[in-house]
Amino acid sequence: VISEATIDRAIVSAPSGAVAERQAARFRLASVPGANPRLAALRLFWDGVPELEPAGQAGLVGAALQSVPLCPRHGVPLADAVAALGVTLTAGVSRSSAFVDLFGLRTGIQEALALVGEALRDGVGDGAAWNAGRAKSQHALRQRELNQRTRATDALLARRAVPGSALARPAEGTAEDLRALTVEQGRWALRQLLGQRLNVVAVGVEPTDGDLTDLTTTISSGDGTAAPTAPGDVLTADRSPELWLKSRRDGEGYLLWGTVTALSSPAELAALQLAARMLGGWYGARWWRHFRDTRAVTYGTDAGVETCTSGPGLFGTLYVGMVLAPRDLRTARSELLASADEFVDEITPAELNTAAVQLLCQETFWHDGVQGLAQRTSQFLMGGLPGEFNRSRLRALRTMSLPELRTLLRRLLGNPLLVTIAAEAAR
Amino acid sequence: MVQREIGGDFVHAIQTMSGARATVVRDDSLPLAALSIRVSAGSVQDPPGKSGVAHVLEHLMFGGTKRHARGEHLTFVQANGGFVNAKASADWTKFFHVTPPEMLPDILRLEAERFAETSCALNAENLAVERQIVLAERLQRITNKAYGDAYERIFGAMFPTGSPSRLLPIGLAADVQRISVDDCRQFIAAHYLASNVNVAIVGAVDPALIQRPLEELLGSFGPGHGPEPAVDEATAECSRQIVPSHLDSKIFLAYALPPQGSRDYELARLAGYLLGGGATARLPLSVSHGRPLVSAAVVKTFGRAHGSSVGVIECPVVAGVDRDAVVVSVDAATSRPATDDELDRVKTSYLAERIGETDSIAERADGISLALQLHGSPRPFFDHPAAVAAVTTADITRGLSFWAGSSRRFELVYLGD
Repeated sequence: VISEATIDRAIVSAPSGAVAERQAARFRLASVPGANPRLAALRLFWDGVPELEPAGQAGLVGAALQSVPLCPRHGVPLADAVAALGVTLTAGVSRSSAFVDLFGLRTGIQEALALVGEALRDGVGDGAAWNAGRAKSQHALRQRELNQRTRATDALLARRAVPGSALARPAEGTAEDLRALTVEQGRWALRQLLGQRLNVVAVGVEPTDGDLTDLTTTISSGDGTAAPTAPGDVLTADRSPELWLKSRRDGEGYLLWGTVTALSSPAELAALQLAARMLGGWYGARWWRHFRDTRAVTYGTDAGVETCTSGPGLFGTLYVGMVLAPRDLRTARSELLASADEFVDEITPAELNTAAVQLLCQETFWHDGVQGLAQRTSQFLMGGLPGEFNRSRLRALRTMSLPELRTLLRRLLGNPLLVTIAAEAAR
Repeated sequence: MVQREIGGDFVHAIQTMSGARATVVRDDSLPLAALSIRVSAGSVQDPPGKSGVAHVLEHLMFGGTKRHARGEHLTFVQANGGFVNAKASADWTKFFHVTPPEMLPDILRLEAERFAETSCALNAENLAVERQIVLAERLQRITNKAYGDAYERIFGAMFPTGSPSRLLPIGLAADVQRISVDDCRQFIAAHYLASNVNVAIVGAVDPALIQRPLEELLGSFGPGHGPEPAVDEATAECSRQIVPSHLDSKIFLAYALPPQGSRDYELARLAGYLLGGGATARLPLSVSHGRPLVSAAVVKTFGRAHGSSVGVIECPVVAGVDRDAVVVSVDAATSRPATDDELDRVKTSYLAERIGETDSIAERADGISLALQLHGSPRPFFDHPAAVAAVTTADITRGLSFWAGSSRRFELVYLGD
């Protein structure tokens, strides 16, 4: 069976994003060439969102930002005014940052940015827009709770992260806090957000094109940065190996094996991504083959690495999850734990090469669509990461030796947690 | 291969004597190629009592050939940096790849090999494993998922007894257990025919260099025409179903829409966008803004080429809100005629979103293979923005009429604790 790459990772070309940067006291503007000359995308983002939210107001920034597309502008909601330019507008939050995305015709993108800048400065609009923004956050939070993978990942992070830190709670906040938020608090939150340093990723539009730099300067009204946080202030010393979550329905079964760890280099992120790929991230991955192709107890494994920043610290959450029938949970749990114990020692050079080839080739996929590319690029700029971070990560994927990978993974995967969603705790 | 210019794109087309069609669009902007093979054979052609055959067969298409072992097609493509998957729907089964362009000739040959050989290579051992995997897929998509059985209930209620459209492509668990190798072979013989094959390739490919393997692929299907599926009209025999739930209350309102491929279907789809497309659409403004009745209003359309398509409005009900108040509000929103302002909003927003959808080569290949299946030509895919731009207020009001009223509507209510 051909289940290994027939090409050498060292020669796989991968676009690094070729980020051209312009830094100023109040903003950071990075640009990436787009593949489609007609289209452009902008992502505006601000770091340090959880640190901005007062105690008891988790989710405040997200709710405020979600209301912005509904704010009136020239007699219609902002989203409609922007759409008239051939541009779509969305806003939201991730675990550590808040963002506004603009995507569409290159000819309309700067005018759309000007409209968004005005709306951001004007605040969250009327009570109706605020209520709708908050309802959107509440809905997104509910969806997270209903999705087994995000429920299990959130539980993993809540167990391992210090309460109140960026990692400890979902990006959308908490249901209790969201319910009590007011429009006045939303207005205050937007002002605070605009006081933070603005990051802009531009795809398909150069900083020197038209007014992009001027517009960015106008929107970025502050130079605030999140308070520095040490990894020890974010991750707890908890080393519990397993966690059980009660299922909401009969017949529900889910296993998620994962870990959250501080990342101090691009090579560490590359190592974590290689591990996710080898364990469950493709049709030839260890757990995919075992649990789907051989045992036929799951439809497939879902694996990946999510990154998040807290102050200047970068954190990676590796997860491999699978849906199972309750009757298969106990056996699968034992097999998974045994396999996880042996994984690092068993990695072969071919397995490393194959996983690296896939991750390198995926970089080109990110360039197939300017909107996805803007979002992808922002991942490697968040928390003040240097512009060459992704280039270094790609270099590590091409050159990391197996002994180096094993050394990194022994540390990065040293404190895993197995989360089980079931009607009863596993025995 | 014939070259034509459509909407600024140079489109290369092949149609074999036996009716298989392919369209190639060269786009050198990235070192990628997307391949979409869409066979006009789906779950509406599942034999009675054997729901899930089209879908199980989609799994078995990766079961190997004389030269390649089970799963090797998938691992070969993915190990070398490509993406590969497949999906079975009511009307079609599609197989798609996105890969570095230099892999494309090999992939076309792999595809030719498996379409020519799968019928012979099918065996009971592979079938037994794939049946279990399909049951695990059912567990993931339906049993184990919040409101996961909603669409099984909706289609079951919308279509008359005995209609294959009552069942989802994944099939019923008991039916899947009964599927035999012979069922799969008969399905291939009846439906995996050249006249049902629609191929689209978009990316950094020289059409001349892939012509031969592409012809091999198109030639791997047998000649002849499969039986046309019966026309399945939705009747919504049952008007309301209430399901007690441990989750929050949620309402699904399902409507019978015109067949996919018709102009009325496109108008109904556009009306669906007027109702639920974006934060400023009519339904979000009516039922989730101000004092929200629902936390979101999601509008979905499920196109079906033979008979009724289905449109669904999903409404997660805010705690303490009366479900009848939600339905009354939705009815009020769907029954108003469209205004000129709304038409402008729909056109600009829809076209802005469409730009995004067709930015990726994978999405373009998918859209072109669908146009080939529905219309026998890629042209409607390229002409779609112009067709939307020409829609009038009266047109979209007609589209709204398919979403209005309760006479052919099915209401599914999950009643929370």
